[in-house]
Amino acid sequence: MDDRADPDHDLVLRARGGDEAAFRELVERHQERILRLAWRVAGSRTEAEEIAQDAFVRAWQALPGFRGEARFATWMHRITTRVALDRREAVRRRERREVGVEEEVLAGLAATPEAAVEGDRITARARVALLAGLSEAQRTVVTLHYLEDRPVIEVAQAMGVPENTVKTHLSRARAAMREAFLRAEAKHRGAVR
Amino acid sequence: MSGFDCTQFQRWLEAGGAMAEGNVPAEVAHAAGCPDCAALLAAERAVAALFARVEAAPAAVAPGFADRVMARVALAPQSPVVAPALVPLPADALPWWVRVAARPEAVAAALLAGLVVLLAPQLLGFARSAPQWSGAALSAITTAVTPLLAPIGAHVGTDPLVRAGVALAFLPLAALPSYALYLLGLQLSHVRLAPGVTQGRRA
Repeated sequence: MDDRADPDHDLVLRARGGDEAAFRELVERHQERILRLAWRVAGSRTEAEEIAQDAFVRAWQALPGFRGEARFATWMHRITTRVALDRREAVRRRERREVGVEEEVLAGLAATPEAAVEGDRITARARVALLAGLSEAQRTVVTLHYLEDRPVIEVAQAMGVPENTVKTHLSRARAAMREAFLRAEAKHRGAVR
Repeated sequence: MSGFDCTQFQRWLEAGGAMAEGNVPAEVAHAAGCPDCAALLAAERAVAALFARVEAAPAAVAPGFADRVMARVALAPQSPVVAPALVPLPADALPWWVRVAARPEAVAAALLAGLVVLLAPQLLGFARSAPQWSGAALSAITTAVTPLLAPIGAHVGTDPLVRAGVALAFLPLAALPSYALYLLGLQLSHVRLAPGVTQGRRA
């Protein structure tokens, strides 16, 4: 991707050199979008703020290695999703939960829309469980397209890849999620018997 | 039946048809009569429902969010720049023995030594049969070289010992192509830093 196509290019260059004021400007530019994404992945506002904060700090630390293969916004997007997945893993380890991906997926599907906050949290957990089974590229296209409602052409521009590549990733991601669902269902049926 | 087959149904599914608003009756009709495709359609719809259940996220950012981030940033050092692959390090950045070991000649010598050790029994056997093959090789070399030396003088080609000596004198010429390849390799391995990539970091 051409660096100059990124509206954040100059700020990123300065922030890479350790300019905190430039990084603050980047935070202010992207905070709303990143918080919204974190909220959609995590399902709770408190958790979303923590994820977004962690994501920005992680981005700051990793900035010297950022080569601009994709736009800064897309890179932040990837980091945010990664942070959300890492937190999920950390919680699972801390709580020593033996709940598998399948159970989380089924619980998420069973949660009724009326069960407002708790329902959101459960469906979010199911979403994260499904996203965890995808590759980095698949996860990025799924979150950009389905969670941020961005059309395929915009996702392609943001990632610096052709539209057909995005379509392929989406198709494979859906297939992987379908398989995870079918596995969950089969396991559930086995448990009921 | 709808006239649809499973392959067409799966192609439609892979293209995201089931995620789009409103299902096409033909595909749904096919799924109704095919348990495998029905299971796939149900899975696709379930996943779609999971992603569609995302409520509108709050638009406003909590006050002081950027301050909180920057307070943590101030305590978090940036990771050092990882030197891009293939960028040569300064000559004095490594101990002498590492630099020597990394030279192509040293690598080639190590490979050769490894081969000698590995093939020691065969080489010994080969050396034992030297009297037989050396005579044949000498004869082949002199036969090949003699026409080249003809202009120098017919008398050179008469003594087998002189002929063999002249042939051996030409052997170093064989090393020339190898040296040329080595020089070419040196030229190709000269890597420049990509524009915008620096080794610097913040103070």
